[in-house]
Formats: sequence, C-alpha cells, structure tokens
Amino acid sequence: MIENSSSLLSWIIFAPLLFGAVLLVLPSKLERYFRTFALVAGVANLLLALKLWANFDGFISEMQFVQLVSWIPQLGISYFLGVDGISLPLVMLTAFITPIAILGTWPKDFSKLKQEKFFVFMVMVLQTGMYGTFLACDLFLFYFFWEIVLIPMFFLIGIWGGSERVYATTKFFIYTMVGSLLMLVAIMWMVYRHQQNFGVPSASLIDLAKLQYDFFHNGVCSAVFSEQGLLFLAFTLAFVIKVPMVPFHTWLPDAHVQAPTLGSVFLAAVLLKLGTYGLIRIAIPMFPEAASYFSMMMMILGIIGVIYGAFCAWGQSDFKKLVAYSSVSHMGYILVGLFSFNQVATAGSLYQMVNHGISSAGLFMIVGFLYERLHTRNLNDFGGIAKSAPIMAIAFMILTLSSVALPGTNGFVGEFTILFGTFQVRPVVALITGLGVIFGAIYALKAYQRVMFGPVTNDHNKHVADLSVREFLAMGILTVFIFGIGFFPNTFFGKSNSTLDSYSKQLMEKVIHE
Amino acid sequence: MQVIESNIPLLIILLPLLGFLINGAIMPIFYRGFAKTPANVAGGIATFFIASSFILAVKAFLQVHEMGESSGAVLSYAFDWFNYGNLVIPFSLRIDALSSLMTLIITGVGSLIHIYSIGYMHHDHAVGRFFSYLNLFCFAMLLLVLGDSLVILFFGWEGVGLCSYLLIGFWYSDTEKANAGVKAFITNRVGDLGFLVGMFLLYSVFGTLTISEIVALLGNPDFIAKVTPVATLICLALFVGATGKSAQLPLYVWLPDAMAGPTPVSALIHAATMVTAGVYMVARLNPLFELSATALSVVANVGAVTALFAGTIAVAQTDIKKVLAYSTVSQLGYMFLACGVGAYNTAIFHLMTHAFFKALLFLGSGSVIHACSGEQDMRKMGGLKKYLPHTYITMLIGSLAISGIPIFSGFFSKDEIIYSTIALPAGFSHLFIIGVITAILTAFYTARMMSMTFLGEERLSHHAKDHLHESPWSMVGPLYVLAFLAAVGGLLGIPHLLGMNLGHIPHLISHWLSPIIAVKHLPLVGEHLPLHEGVVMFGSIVFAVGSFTIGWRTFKNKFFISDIVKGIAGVQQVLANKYYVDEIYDAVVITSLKGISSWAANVFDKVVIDGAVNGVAVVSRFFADKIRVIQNGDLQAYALVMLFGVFIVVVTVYGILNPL
Amino acid sequence: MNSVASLLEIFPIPTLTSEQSVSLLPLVILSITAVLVIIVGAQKSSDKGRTGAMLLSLFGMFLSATVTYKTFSFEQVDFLSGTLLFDYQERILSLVLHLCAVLGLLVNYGYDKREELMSEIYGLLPISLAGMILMVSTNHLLFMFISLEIMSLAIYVMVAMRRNSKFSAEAGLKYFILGGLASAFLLYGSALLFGASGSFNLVLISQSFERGVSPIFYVGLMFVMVGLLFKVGAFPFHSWIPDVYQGATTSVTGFMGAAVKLVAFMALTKVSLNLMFASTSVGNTAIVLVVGGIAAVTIIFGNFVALKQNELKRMLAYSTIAHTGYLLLGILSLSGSPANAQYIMIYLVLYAFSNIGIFALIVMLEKSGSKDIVIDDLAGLWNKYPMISIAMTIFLLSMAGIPLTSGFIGKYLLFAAAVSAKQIVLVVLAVLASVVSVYYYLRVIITMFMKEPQHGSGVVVASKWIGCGITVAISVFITIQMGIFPAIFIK
Repeated sequence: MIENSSSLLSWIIFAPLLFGAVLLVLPSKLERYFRTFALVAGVANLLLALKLWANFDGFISEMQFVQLVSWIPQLGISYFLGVDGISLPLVMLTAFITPIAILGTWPKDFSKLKQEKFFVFMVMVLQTGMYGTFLACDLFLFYFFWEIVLIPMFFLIGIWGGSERVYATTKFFIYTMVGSLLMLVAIMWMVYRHQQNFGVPSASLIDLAKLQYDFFHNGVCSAVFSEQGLLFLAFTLAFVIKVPMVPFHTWLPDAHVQAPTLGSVFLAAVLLKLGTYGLIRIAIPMFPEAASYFSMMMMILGIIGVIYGAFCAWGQSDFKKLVAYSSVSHMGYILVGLFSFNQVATAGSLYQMVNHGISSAGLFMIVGFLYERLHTRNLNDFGGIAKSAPIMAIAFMILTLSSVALPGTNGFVGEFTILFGTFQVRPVVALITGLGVIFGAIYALKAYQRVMFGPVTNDHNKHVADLSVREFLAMGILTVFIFGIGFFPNTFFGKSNSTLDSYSKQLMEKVIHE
Repeated sequence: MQVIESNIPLLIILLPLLGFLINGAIMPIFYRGFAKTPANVAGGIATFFIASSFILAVKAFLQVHEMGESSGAVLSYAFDWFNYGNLVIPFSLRIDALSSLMTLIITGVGSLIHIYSIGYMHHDHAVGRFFSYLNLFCFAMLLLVLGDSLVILFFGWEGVGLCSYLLIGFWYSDTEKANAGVKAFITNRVGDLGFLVGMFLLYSVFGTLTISEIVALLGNPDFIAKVTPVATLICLALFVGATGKSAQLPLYVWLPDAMAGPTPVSALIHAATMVTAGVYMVARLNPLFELSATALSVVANVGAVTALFAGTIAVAQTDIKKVLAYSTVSQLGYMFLACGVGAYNTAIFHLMTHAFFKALLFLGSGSVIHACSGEQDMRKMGGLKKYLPHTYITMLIGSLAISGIPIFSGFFSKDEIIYSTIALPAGFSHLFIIGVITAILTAFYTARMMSMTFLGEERLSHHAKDHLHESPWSMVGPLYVLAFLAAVGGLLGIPHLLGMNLGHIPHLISHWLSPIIAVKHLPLVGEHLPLHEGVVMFGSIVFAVGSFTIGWRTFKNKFFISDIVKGIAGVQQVLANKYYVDEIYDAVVITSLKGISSWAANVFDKVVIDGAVNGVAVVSRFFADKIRVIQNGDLQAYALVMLFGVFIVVVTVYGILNPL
Repeated sequence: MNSVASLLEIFPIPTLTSEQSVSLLPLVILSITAVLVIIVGAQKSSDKGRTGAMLLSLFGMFLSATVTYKTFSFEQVDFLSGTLLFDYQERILSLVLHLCAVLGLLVNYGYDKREELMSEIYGLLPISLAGMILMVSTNHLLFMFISLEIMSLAIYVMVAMRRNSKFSAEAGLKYFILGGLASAFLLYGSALLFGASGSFNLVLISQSFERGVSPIFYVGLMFVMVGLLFKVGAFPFHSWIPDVYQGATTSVTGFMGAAVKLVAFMALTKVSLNLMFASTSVGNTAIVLVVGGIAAVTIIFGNFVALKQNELKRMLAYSTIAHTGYLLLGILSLSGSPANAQYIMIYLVLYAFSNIGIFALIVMLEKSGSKDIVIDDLAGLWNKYPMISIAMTIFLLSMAGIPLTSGFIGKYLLFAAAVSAKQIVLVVLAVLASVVSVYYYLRVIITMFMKEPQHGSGVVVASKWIGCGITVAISVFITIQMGIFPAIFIK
C-alpha cells in the first residue's frame, strides 16, 4: 500500500466545499451567475477526476493515491483516503454527472429563483459528501461522509421541492437515519473487537478486514444472532435502505416526486450507488461467511425488487414515479449480481451501478424538461410531443433503450454480465431475473409511447419547445457515454479489472474454506 | 478450414451504419429540420450505401468461392468487445458459405427495396427518418448474420427488434400503429429471453460463445458425449428465441399487426430478412441441433402446425397485406419443418426463394395500395389488371412461384421440403400430410388474392378510381428484377431426380453450403421408399396447379370461401378473426399482468409498505401521548413519584442482594 | 486570650503550603466578587448599578479563571487528607465551568433590563460557580453535600428571579422543595455509608471493601444515587425539569441545564467509580441492572414525550432528559474500564455549549412577557433572520448527533465506550430512540426553513443583544470545531 502518495483525493473531496465557501462570500444580487459558478466548480472537479483517472494504474489491485493522517488517535480513527478499481468508476460517474446535471437542469428564467445561493451551496456540500463516501477507507470517515450526504439532500428536497416536500424529506431522512445508526453501533463493535484482538483500536478498512468473527450456521437463528451475522445484517440494513431494496423502498418515489429536478438527478444517479457501494466494499468482504449464508435471501429480495419494481413502474400514472420505480427495478439487478459471488456478476454489478447512474440521470432530466414546459408529470396529459420536439424525442428514445438494456447501449453491458455470471452459479435465479428484461421493456416503452407518440390530444402539447443548447449538450454527452460504454466497455472499465480479480479471489478463499 | 483476414465484413456492416448516421443526423442539420430532407436525396444516400455493401458482399462471395472445397471464411476481427474473467467476447465478423449467401440476400433484396421505397415514400413527410431507420436495420441484420460470437449475433438480434419497432410505429401519430410497434418489441423480447438462457446454458457446457469454436468442439466425438444430455435443453431455449423472432406459433401474434408499418418495411423486415433470423440461427448451429432428436421433432412439429394454422387463416383475410403476412408465417413454418427433419440446406434454399417471391408480392401489393391511394381492403379493389399491367405481371410471377407451379423457384424449394419430410426420416409421417395440405392452401389463398385484386369487376371507390395510376418506374423496376429472380431462383437447387437425368446438374445450394451443413444422403431411386421421389413431385405439381386454378376462377367476384361452400359460414367467421388468438392472449396474459401492476402500484405499495412505515410514526406518537400524562404539573405528585422511584430502587437492590 | 487559644485548639488553622493556597485562591476571589457585586448592585438607580455589577462580576470571574489557569503547572494538590483534590482533570473542568458561567452572565446582560431582574443575579452566578468548583474537586461525601447546597441555593434564587411572570416563582419553588428532598436523601445516604464503612471519603470507603460489605452499604449507596439522580434528572426523579425549564428565567436555564448537569454527573461518576464498580461483589450486578433500567426508561421517556411537545423550551427540557439517559449509559460503561470517565466528561462539555447556545438564541427570540415560543412561531425564520436559523440548526443537529457537529463525536465516544462495556442492547435502544429525537429536532428545522409564516401570528422579532451574540458565536465555534477536530480534547 503506497503511503501518502498524493493529496489529490483530498482536493477532489474538498474542492466543491471551497467553491461553496467562495460562493457564500459573493453578494446575493449576483444571483444569475451562481448557476454558472456551480458549473465551473463541477468542471473543475471533473478535471481533477480526469487527472486521477489518467495516472490511475490499472494493474495494481490495492488502494492508490493513499492519504493517511491520524484524526482521533485514541480511537484509532484516521483520515484515510484511497481509490481502487471498485471506487474509481463511481468517482468518475459523480464527476461526470455533476456538470451534466447542472447543465441539464438550467433554470429557464432567473426571476423565479428561491435562495439561489443556498441552493448552489447545498449542491456543493452534496458533492463533497458523495466524493468522500466513495474515497473513504476508514469506516468512521465513511460513516462521517455517509451522514453528511443526508443534510444537503434534506434541504434540497425540503426547501425547493414540490407540494408535500416536508413529508417526503422527513421520511427520507428518518428512513436513512434508522439504518445508518444501527451501522454506527456495528462500527463501534468492530473497532472494539479490533482493540481486543490487536491491542490498539483502528477503524481502517484494511485492519478491520483482518479480523475474524465467529459465525455458526447450524440453524437460522443461530446464524442471525452469531456475531458475524448480526454485524452483517446491521451493515446490510443500512445499505439496503439506500439501494433501495423492495421492502425498504417507499421513500424513493416520494423523495423523487417532491425533489427539484437537480436534486432527483443526483439522488438517482449517485446517492443510490452509495448503498450498493457499501455492500460491495464493506458488507460482503468483511463478513464473507454471513454474506454467503444470507446470499440466497438477498438474491430473492433482489429478484422481488426487479419484478415488483417493474410492475409498480408499469402501474404508475405519474411519469417521475415511474422512473423512480424503474430505478428500484434496475438496482435489484445489482443486488442479484453482488450476492451471486461470481466474479463476472460482481463486475457486472459494478458496471450496472455506473450505467444506471447515466440512464436514470438522463431520464430524470427528460422528466424535468417536460415539467418545466408543461408543468405536469401525469402521463395522460402528454401525447404526440415527438412532433414538436424531435430532438427531445430522440434523446428520450436513446435513454429508454439504455434503460431497456438494448445491446450496443451501456444498459446491456451491465445486465448481460450480471445474468451471465449469476447463471453459472444459480441458473434459476438468473432465469427469473431475466424476466425483468421483459417487464422492463413493457413499462419503458409504455412511458415513451404515452409521452411521445399518439395524436396530440390537449392543445398546449402542440408547440412544446425543443431542447435548448444547454439541454442538447447535456443529452449529447449522456448519449456519447451510453453508446461509448455499450460498444467499448473495456476502455471504460478496464482499469478496475485487477481490483475485481483480487476482490473475487479473496472472497472465494474466505467463502469456500468455511 | 482456410481463413483470410480482411476488413470487408467490417466494411459491409459499417456502410449501412454510415448511411444511418448521415440520414439520421447530418441531413437534418443540413436541411435544418427532421422532416425536410427530400425523398430522393435521402433515398439516394441510403440506396448508395446499401448497394455498395452489396457489391462488397459479392466480392466476399467470390473470395469464399475461390477457396473452393475447403470451407474457407473471410474473418475480420475488430477488437475484444468484452473480456473479463471467463467471459471473453471478440467483436469479430466472419463470412463463410452460409453467411455470404445470407449477406447477398439481405443486401441484394435490401437495395431493391430501398430503390422501391424512394418512389413509395415520395410524398411522406418524414422520409429522412424512414431511410435512416432502414439503413440502421440493414446494419443490425448484417451484424446478426456476420457475427462470429453468439453475443454479437444477439447484438444484431435485438438491433433488428428495435428497428422493426421503430419502423412499424413509423407513423407514430396514430396510437394503434404505435401499439403494434410496442407489441412487436415486447413479443420479440420474450423470445430474446429464451435466446439469452440458451446462450448461458450453451456457455456452461461449451465454455465459449464463439460459433466457430462451438462447431469445432462439436467435431470431436468424446466432447459430443458430454454435450448430448444438455443439448435438448439448449436447443429448445434457442428455439424459443427463434419462435419469437421468426413469428412461430406461440409468439407469432406480432407479425400480422406489424403490417401497420409502411409496405417496404413489411417487404424487407417481415418477409425477406428479419423473420428468417430464427431459421439462420438454427441452420448455423445445426450440428448442435442434430444431437437432440426431441428438439428436432419439436422444431418440425411447431413449424408444421404453424404453417397449417397460418395457411388456414390466410384464406379468410380481406386485407391484402394480412394475407401476405399470414402466408409469410406459414412459409416460415415450412422452413422450420425442413430444419426439423434435418434438411437444413433445403430450409436455407426455401429461405432464399421465399425472400425473392415474398418481397416481390409485398412490393407488388405496395404498388397496388399506392395506386389505390392507400386502400388495403381487397373487397374495394378488383379488375385492376388493365390499370396496373406491370404490377399484375410481376405479382402473377410471384404468386406462381409461391404456389409451387413448376419451373418457378417456389416449386423447387417447397417440393424438396415436402420430399425431405418423408425421405429423411425415411418414413411416412403426419408432417408429410400437413406439408401437402399447406401447399394446397398456399396456392389457393394466393390465387384468391390475385383474382380478388386484379380480376372481377371494379369495386373501387370513385375517389380511388380517378387517382388510379401505374406506379412509376422506380417502383416497377425492382418488381421486374425480383420477378426474374423468383422465376430463375429455382435453378440453383434442381432436385436429384431431374438433375441426374438432365445431364448431371448438381444441387448448387446444398453443394455450396456443404462445409456448413453436411449434406444428408437422400435415398435414391430404387431404395425402399413408400413413395418414389418422382411420384411425390408429380403429385405436388397436380395439387398446386389444381388449387391455383380453382382459386383463380372462383374468386373473380366472390370474397369468402363461405360464399362458395354454403355450410361453413361459422368456420369462415373463426378464420377471419384469426381463431380469436389475440383476444385470448389479451384476456389471459395482458389483462392479468395489468391487474397485478395496478394492484402492486396503488394497493400493495401505497397501503401495505407505506402504511407500515407511516404506522411506526403513528404508533410512536400514540405511545408518546399515553406517557405524557404523568407530567401533570402538581408538586405533590412529583414528590410522590420520586418517593415511589426510590422505593422501587431500594427494593430491587435489596431483593437481588439476598434473594428470598 | 485563652478563649481564643481554646478556639484555635478546636479549629486549628492549618498551615497551608504555597500551592494549596493558590489552588484555593479562585474560590476566595469568587466569594469576594459575589459580596462586592451585591453591594454595588444595591444602588438606587438600578441600570447604572446593573452594568457596574455585571462588569465587576465579569472581572472577578476572569481573575479566578486566570488563577486556575496558572495552577495547571502544579501537580496534584489535596486538602484535609483527601477531601479536596485539585488534579489536572479538575482544573480543566473548573476552566470549562468558568467559561459556562461567563457565557451565562453575558446572556443576562440586556435581558435583565427588559425583565427587570434584580442585579443580584450577577452576584449569585459567582456563588453557584464556586459551589460547582468545590463539588467537582471533592471526594468527601459531606463536602459534596455542602457544595451541592451552595450551588443549588444560588440557582433556586436565580430561577425564581423573573418577578413579572408567575411561572418563574412556581418553577423556583418546585425546584427548591424537590431539591431539598433530594439533598435529604443524599445526606441520609452518606450517613448510612459512613456507618457501613467508617469514613466519608469515597477513596477510603472503597478501600474498606476488603473487610467485607455490610447490607447497609447498599441502601446508603442507593440513597446517595437517588440524590444525585434527581440533580441530573433521570426518569423517576425528572418531573421537575420540564416545569423548571419552561418557567425559569430563560437566560439562567441555559447555564443551569449545562453546568448543573455537568457537575452532578461528575459527582455521579466519582461515586460509581469508587463505590459501585470497584468491587466485583454481587451488588455490582444489581446496581448495573438498576442503573441500566433507569437509563433505558429515561431515554425512552425523554425522547417520546418530547415528540408531542409544541413549546420549544418544553421540548428542549425533555430532550435534556433523553441526554441524561445517554449519559447514564456512559456511567454504566465505567464497569468496562475506568478510562471511560473522560468520554462522559467530553459529552457533557460538548452538550453544555450546545445547550447554552440554543438557550441564548431563545433569549433573543422571546418577546417580553408573552407566552413561550411555540415551534410554529418559528415558521419562515430562515428568510427573516438567516444567521439565527443557521445557528439554531447547528445546535439542533449537534443535539441530534449528526456528523460535522460536536454532538456526533460526543455520542460516538459515549456509545463506543458503552459498546466496549458490552452494553449492546442498551446502545441499540439508545440509538433507535435517538432516531425519534432526530424527528423532533428536524421538526424545528423544517418549520424554520420550509414552512411559510402564517401572516400575523408568530411574527418573531429578534432583539439583538451583543451579550447573546457573543455567546452564540462562541458556542457555534466550539460545536463545529469539536465536530471536525476533536482529537485535541481527548486525553
């Protein structure tokens, strides 16, 4: 592990916060330029991320760009940052999605802005939280950023949201809090166990990975209440609420419907990935026996997520809720992929995280465009918009194809690898998950047809303004990614191969020998 | 196995893609608007690219030909599309005997259809978009045919599904047409899931997804022992994919509705190329299918039943394109019947001839519809013979070919299929009977269609009447070329009996495909056989000619078979409504799924899960209300509570210290 | 003359070493300032006297703070063979107490003029501060009782200071009577402990365990515990807190809530360290069970009742009860390892400053004489007074234990200690109950940021006093600084 090789990661995390601080100083009558300021900040961070990508060595599987500064020595907590093959794609996703999202949700007229400065500041803090969570290698630091992400999202939905935004944002906050506080107790127990075994407490992921928790699986309750079982379930509960997995997903549609477009783009594109990232980084490698014991249960819940999410999406009449439920369905795939303990499926899940981020961000932007033009989200009010807004129709078609996982788009790369990998381990599970491919097509095409095709029923659909230059740019970049990853997945994900190899190898050793 | 590295295959697929990009993206910018590109500009570009890829296809065909017997192949390896862990998928394209033939058909018939549609779509407003979709379709179909790895084949497989969705729903402002597009895509998707599962099963046994490696592995006998137990499962799964794509019985419902698209689309996609993808896949993996008799019998039976089923429906249709749609389903059934009995090369031969005459018939019907300014119902046509002479002649050749009248291509390929149904399994079976009956039906409904449209007195509405005009040469030209191919196509596969007597003319097609599909030994004259090949051929000629003439004469002014034979009005009603299959599907599958989805969305999700979440909040509030009561603000009560507390504490400590 | 000599025999004047005298000096200074302030404040023209008294009292406290700071360099100093013990930890605590008192004093300035508080309040503050310093540094039970009384009496008077609102008098009286009852328990318990072990000094009592433990010891211990639990506000003995918090002079409530809780818990830690968890006798499990039970009930009661409160101060009162429950959990963690005592201290210090800060804000927001602030009055505060609402949000988030604030670090340390003492079940309960606390803290934030003010009612007018401003600024700084760089504080 290379010690303190560079402070690039700290720069990536805290650059948005610095921009935010500068923003606070600016007088608020410059309100019109704050959005450009946010864009500049986003692009600056993107450049930093590209620098990270450029000199990230694809052949090392351990952490790179490590930064280790002791933070609370008495408790073994250190400011420990690092990036490896698993977190790199997600960091790059955040770096790319931010400028695109800001570009895509540019306010039409600046007169109706509400506390623009506070809004942009919250977006900056949100970015810091997201980068921090992906780059933290210390469990306490991970939790620290995991919570920080909540506050800006809480305000974004709460202040600039729709009609019942208060209910939605409280539900979102409390729901995530329940999970993460139980995770906190689990972290405390792990640090204590580390102190008991090795004398000195330490919360760093690498040290904690060395710990051995006893796990006896001669019966369900003995497995659940064994030490490793409890720890695994505590962590998984926190992550699964964020994914969201089916029984814990009801906060997502409310949060999305009430959130402003920029907020819901971030929520869909990156925040959902925190949950799955937590699973792949902490829950599964730290407690392999428990994870493999509960893997069947989690996969079944994943399948339910896929099928049930698709059915809910199909039954929705609110366009944004439909897209929200489609996220539930797509994230179900990742759960199935992760818990199949197959090398290719795990890689597929990582790809699916990035791909879903791109396609759902685009879809939410489309919802935002339509809402800004027609001030409605009800599918029945739309119809025949393709006639007056052809570019939007094309962009929406490409995004639908990506979410329907058509070969040649990024969706296929993710879903095919997951199904391929899972089939080798559990064919029946893969078969049922495959059904999601069909239902996915049904609700996606239904949505597209309700919005774009058909005769122009109500009059103000006649002259829907087509995409502005900014919106076209945002959609264009997303399209480049959709087809780029679709046709050349290796160029995008090649760098994480070695980490994924060593990750699966370690996992197999631990799981097989028990 | 001699392999030449060259980038011809790559060029063949990239040219249509380029055409798609130019028409789809650059032209609208150039003409500032999506519906502004004039027809012949867009058409010209599209045709240029598909034609140039046709020329390359011919060049590749010749190259493969030079390699002679040793089953050469032209390979172009672009890059590794995906390799991580044990999943390695090279993006490589391979032209060998079978795929060169298919490429020729696709690009050849495709170019003709492109030329035709310049005229046909001339006054449509979104022509640029139409031609970009057509080129995209050709790219996807060529990818399907040339793909060396099954995943690349799957690439093309779903790509053509997308293009058929886009083209069927081309006139999207009419919801019914858009619904047809969605129906096509979803039904294909059901099939594609089967294909996916087949691929994964195949991988779990073979360890590779590249077709050439699979075929090579099937070469050595000890590996075959390992594969046979799973072979049936793999073949059935792959066949589910084929039924979805090639509209066989369970999943054929989308093809008749796909007629909502413009006619050139029906000609190209739903007659010549896309629907044959299933047959191509089965032929390509024939060594695998050979391993499991059960799978082959399933393929044969599904094919036969579909052929018969669709044939009967076609007899009762009034819409000209619906007749042709059901006839396509029936002919595809024939091809699968051929594959089922093991005569893969005959299936490919029939695929080729079918591409010619079915495309011809569709384009002919297109020019008829174009002439009658959009009228598709045959009952409102009639007597067009004198107004549309060229269309009449070419469609006549096409219908003669499809009915299996001698010297026309249909006779050779269909007769060989019927013959192989009894020759190969060397036994008399129900398949042979179904084959013969379907042949009769084919001749019958084709003749009915011809006579209802071209003969009899004119039933045109006067609006259509005064606009009646023969189609321009850009449309009639391709008709003549196709008519020539339909007529001459049969000579490529002269059957053994005639070949031997007329001076050793070999069966060119099966000879050409021999490296891919091992030629089965058809029992010759003299070997014990229930029916001598000559007898079969003679019988099929008599039946074909007979039913064609009956159909030709009776339907001059009548519409339905119930007009002729009094008693069967009820049967006619059932056939006209396509055995109510769509209604059954709707009732059983779609409404129940819709019911579940609305229940899931509104009832279960809102009430149950959300209810539980909000319930927790309500319970905690209720609990808070209850315990708030202690705080009543009275000092004495506080003191009392304190003392009570102390008492409890002391008693518990004392109780624990010296238990009773 | 010999009468004087006989007096000296009875009360021999101990010869003090230089260190001892300097350690005692702060107490002396505080007493003198108190007396002087009361004299200065008693002038006829109340406002001139008031500022004079405030300044003098402020000066006195600064003086004693500098003296305590100077004593840092000495080692441990103890008096009367162990009754008073000035060690490093005690000096840190007395500095913190000085800071709390100063902030408590600043908040008063300006508020007292509007509420016509008598200027004696500035005199009572140093007295209560002196009582607190004594309490923190003693190991002797009787001495603990004396310093408790000194502190409490000063605070009873301060609480009842607001003449023009009858609630204040009622609160003061309730606090006084119930306080008296608790002190009685404390005294009686000490007597029993003396009987059982022959000494008042906690250290000596713990040494007497080898000679066996008589049952009276446990009864006495329980009574002492009850006395302290009352001061801290644990469940069965909490009933005074909501009424006192709501009724008392708002400026005093902040200081009282923070400092009294800090001191009482320090005493409780000393008692439990020496008496409860020293020996591993049977009694140990019984006491752990009792304290655990009380802690659990306090947490649940505090959090859930706060859920239904509409008045801001009453809600904060119940949230203090909840925080007491978390701290009782910390007391339990002492059975794990004595080093956990510092985590309790850290939590108390961090909580103290959030408490003082939030009450300083309430002082600024309150209108004179009217009823208390209902949470809905704060609607739309964000647009009118952005700075106040941001400060309020920071304090609330710190109390809820959200990262970036000191509350999170405090809670993490406390619960980590409890987890290391294998109190997993209680910690999980505390964590889930704190989710409920997150809800009612969020409710306030939501009303401030997201709700539009119902025009007319609840238009909150903020009186901007520099005293409160400084207090809020200091508290915000400490909350954020401790939230990000807590290492310097933990030994």
